[in-house]
Amino acid sequence: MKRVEQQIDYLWEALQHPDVSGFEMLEFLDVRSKLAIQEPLLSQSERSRVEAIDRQFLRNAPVWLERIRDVSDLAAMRQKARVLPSHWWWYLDELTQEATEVCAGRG
Amino acid sequence: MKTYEILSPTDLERLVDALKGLREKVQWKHGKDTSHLDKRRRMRHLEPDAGLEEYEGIISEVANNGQNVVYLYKRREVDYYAIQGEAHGRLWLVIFGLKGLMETAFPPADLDDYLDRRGFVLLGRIDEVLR
Repeated sequence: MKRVEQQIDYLWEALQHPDVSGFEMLEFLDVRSKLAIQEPLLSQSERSRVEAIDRQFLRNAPVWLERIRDVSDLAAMRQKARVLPSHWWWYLDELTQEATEVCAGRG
Repeated sequence: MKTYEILSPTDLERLVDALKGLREKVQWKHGKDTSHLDKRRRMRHLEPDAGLEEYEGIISEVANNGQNVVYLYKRREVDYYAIQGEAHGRLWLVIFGLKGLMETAFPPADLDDYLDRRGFVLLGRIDEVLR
């Protein structure tokens, strides 16, 4: 099995378990970032699977953020992990805040 | 100076207490044992028919090997500890808190990278800490 397929399988399966520790969710973000490096090389079906993963991840963003916040500060973690600005999944805190503001009519 | 010697006497006492608690008995937050076990099976970290006994056996094996190293991770006022060690052909990371209460145990794909990116601080070998 190709490494990229293993990463996609990992991400999909990990998404199905939002009830574990935030420490594991941080690894999900690591793996998503590793996969991002290879995105230009993905096949159409691999790309579709990644899109499905991203959609589900975004739908459950508040739950993920809560779990991650139990164990870490995402802003500090972005710095420690030297996260690229284009890796939006590391910005769950800001995305969730923006969504809340839009819903409240402050956006 | 060993790294764990930077801890205050109170912090060191907490660490020793947590290590002893974990080595004595694997304890989970309410209902978390089965959700973690289910994920480990689904992720193929354990056999599909593995039970909690097998999962906790791995955790105990890692915690009871005095040669394994222990790390500290601070989240505001909360201390978490982590032990890395090999069991059943994989490198596992066992993360726990006060009194040894389990947070999680999983085999990160790249353990060194994971510890580095999270900011875990190496304290020393378990047998040194417990001496």
